[in-house]
Amino acid sequence: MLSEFLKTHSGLYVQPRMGMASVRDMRKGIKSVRDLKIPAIGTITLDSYTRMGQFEEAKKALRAGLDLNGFPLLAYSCQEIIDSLSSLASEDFLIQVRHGTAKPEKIFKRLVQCNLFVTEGGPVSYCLPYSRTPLEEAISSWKKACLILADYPTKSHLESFAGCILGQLCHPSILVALGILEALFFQKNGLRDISLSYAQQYSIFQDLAAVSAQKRLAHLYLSKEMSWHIVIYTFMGLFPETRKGYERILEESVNLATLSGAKRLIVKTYEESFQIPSVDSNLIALTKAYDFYSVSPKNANYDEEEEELIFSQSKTLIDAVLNLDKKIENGLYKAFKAGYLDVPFCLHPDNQRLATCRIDQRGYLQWISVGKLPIKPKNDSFQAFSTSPLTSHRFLQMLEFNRKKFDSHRKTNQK
Amino acid sequence: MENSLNVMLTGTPSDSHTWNLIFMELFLQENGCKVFNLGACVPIHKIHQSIEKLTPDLVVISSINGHLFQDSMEIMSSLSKSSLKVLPPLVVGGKMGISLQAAAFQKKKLIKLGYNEVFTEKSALLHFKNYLYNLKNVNAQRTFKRAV
Repeated sequence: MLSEFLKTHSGLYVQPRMGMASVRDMRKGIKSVRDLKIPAIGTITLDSYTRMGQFEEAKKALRAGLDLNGFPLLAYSCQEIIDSLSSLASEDFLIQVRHGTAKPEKIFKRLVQCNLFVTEGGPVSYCLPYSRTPLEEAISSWKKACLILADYPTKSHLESFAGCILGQLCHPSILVALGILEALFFQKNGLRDISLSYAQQYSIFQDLAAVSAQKRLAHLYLSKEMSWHIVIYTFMGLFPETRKGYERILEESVNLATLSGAKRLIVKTYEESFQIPSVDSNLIALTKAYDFYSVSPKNANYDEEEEELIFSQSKTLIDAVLNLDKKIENGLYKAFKAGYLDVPFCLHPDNQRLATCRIDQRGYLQWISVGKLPIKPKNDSFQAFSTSPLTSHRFLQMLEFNRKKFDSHRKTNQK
Repeated sequence: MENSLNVMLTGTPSDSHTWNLIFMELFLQENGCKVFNLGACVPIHKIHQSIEKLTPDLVVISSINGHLFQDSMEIMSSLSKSSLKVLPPLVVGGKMGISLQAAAFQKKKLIKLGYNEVFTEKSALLHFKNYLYNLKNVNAQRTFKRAV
């Protein structure tokens, strides 16, 4: 329903991350986003106990008056949630529930009981980075969870988080391929309204090429019955430290969303690199993003060569997985086992970790090694590898790349 | 590598961060170690099993979510109750998430409990590098004596 909704509403919608322990605060937070009078989607982010399936722990903490880092969906009665939160949604205002759960069946069951049908995640993207759950278990749980949502075809929406996997330093060909594969998994399990995510990396030119390739592949692989849109995330790694640096990186993510034709943008607040954001800082970030949107450029130079490269690498990966098994759920599992899918720097026991990448001088992510991925990297990245292996020092530089890039005015000021 | 150390690197049960573990893996490799990286959110029983299975020369516990002290206490007290007869040297490093004074107190407490070193101050990496160098020499001498 979210994709259908965005089809009939033009322009970019902005969305925060937001989760409070008490229903009353959660209601206040969502209401204040709704009352901003800009095109926005409301968010309920769940707390980490609930994410890990420790529902009793969440209840206990709540009873003890402790603060939680999100909303404990199973600690309140359905009626309470429906009355205070679900009822805030309307034809003009939608609410998404964000959770980060590797095995989400119980949470999805609860969501539909509470009249909440818009959510996110994925069998790979919520298993590999945040859990030690065996991939096979996550896939089977996600299958059941999808079927729960699929019972409500006109109301439900599921976003694949794959384009954000690990948040940073993942090669776009993997981000794009995983996104399409999770979308196919959703489609197979009855979902008809979905979205594909993509997290801002280190160069807007490579990011634009990646999202463009992602859209072409979505047209190619997804059934015509599917309604889908692209959601962009403001950079998720080490953030600039200055306010100006923050505004510059936020602005670039808005430009990426506008120029790539995305319909939704998940923003980050200035405070997020130090602490859990307050409602006020979220409102400021949403307003700021919307202001940037109103003056964002409508044209940019595209790197067509890069788009072709990402397109062909992603397509090769997707086809390799689909050829492994008729059932996509088996294909996904087998592909990670065989190293046909491999997420750089991901320490999950089911990830082979033979593929690695680096950031080049332009801010493009390049393969250092493709491991067993069935793709050929560009020749020049191989040459680069022979002269620049990844060291701990280089790795730190990569983690700090965007902080340095967007805080660069600090240095020039001092000169 | 002739006298390389076999290092078991692990996160704590409560910490889902992994970038610190990737960094430490590279750092250890550069300093002549072979690394087995257990990853993040490692349950205590898994740490036991892995020490038993891998018999590493050194165990490095790294965490940056601010619960390093509490988690390290629990890991050690459970290890000392375990069936493991000889423990390899264990060190912890990362962020304590508290004031410097409290960190000094906690460091003392962890060492008293059985950790060989605690690396949390600003120059921790340099100290850790020296620690590795010394440990390698001690191990090499031991091997040499055995050979003689």
